[in-house]
Amino acid sequence: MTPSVWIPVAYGLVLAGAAMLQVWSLINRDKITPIGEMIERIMHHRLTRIAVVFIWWWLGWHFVVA
Amino acid sequence: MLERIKSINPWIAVFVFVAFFHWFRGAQGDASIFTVASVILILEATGKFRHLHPKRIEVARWLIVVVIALVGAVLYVSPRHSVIDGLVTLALLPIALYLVWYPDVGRKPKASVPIRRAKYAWFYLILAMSLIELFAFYASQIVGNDFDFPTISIILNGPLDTSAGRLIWIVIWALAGVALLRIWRRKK
Repeated sequence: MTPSVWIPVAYGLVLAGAAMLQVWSLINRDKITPIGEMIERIMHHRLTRIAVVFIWWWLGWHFVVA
Repeated sequence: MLERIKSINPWIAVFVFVAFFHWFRGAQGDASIFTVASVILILEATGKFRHLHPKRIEVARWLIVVVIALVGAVLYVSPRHSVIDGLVTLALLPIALYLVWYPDVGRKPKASVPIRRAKYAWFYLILAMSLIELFAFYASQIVGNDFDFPTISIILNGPLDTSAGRLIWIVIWALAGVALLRIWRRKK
C-alpha cells in the first residue's frame, strides 16, 4: 500500500475513532463525557473560547477562501 | 525558568507553535492569522482585555438562521477562493469573537473522571491527526510531490471544488460554529 493510499486511510481511521468515541460516550455517560458536554466545560474561560473560535474560523478560511 | 514555562497557557503555546510553523513553511496567510491570534491570546492572558467586558449576548434564533442561510448561500454560489468568499468569512471573525468575549462566570468546576477521560481521548485523537498531517507535509516536501504524501488540504481540495463537496463542508462548518459559539441554546 502506497502512502497516497494509507495516509487518507489513516485520517479515515482517526475520524472513525472519533465517531465511535462519541457514540460510546453517549451510551456510557457515566464512564466518559460526550463531546458536547466537554466543550461546554472547556469553554468556561474566555481565553479558551477565543482560541477555539479562531481554530473554527481558520478552518473555514483555509478550506474555502485560502 | 521551569515554573515560568509551566505557567504558559497551553493554548498560547499551541498557537505560537502553529504560527511559527506556518511562517517556516512559507504560508504567509495562515501564519498571519495565527500570529494575530497568538497576540490576542497573550494580551488576554496578561489581562489587557480585563476592561472589555460585554455581556453574553443572546442572539435570536431567526437571526442565526438568516445569517447562516445568507453566508452559506454566498460561500456556496461564489467561486471558491474568490474575493467575496474572503470578505464574508473575514466579516464573521469579529462577530464570532464578540459573541464569546463575555467574562467568565464563576469558578470552573473541578473535572470529574468521565470529563478527564473525554479530554484525554479527544486530545490523543487530535494529536494523531496532527502527527499524520505533519508527517504527510514533511514527506511531501522531501519527495517534492504533494500527491505522494497527501495532507488533508490536498485530499479535500478535489471534493471542495465540486458543488456537493463545498455544500457539505459549508453545512458542517456552519453547524460547528453555532455549536461552539453556543448561541442556539437558551438559559433554563
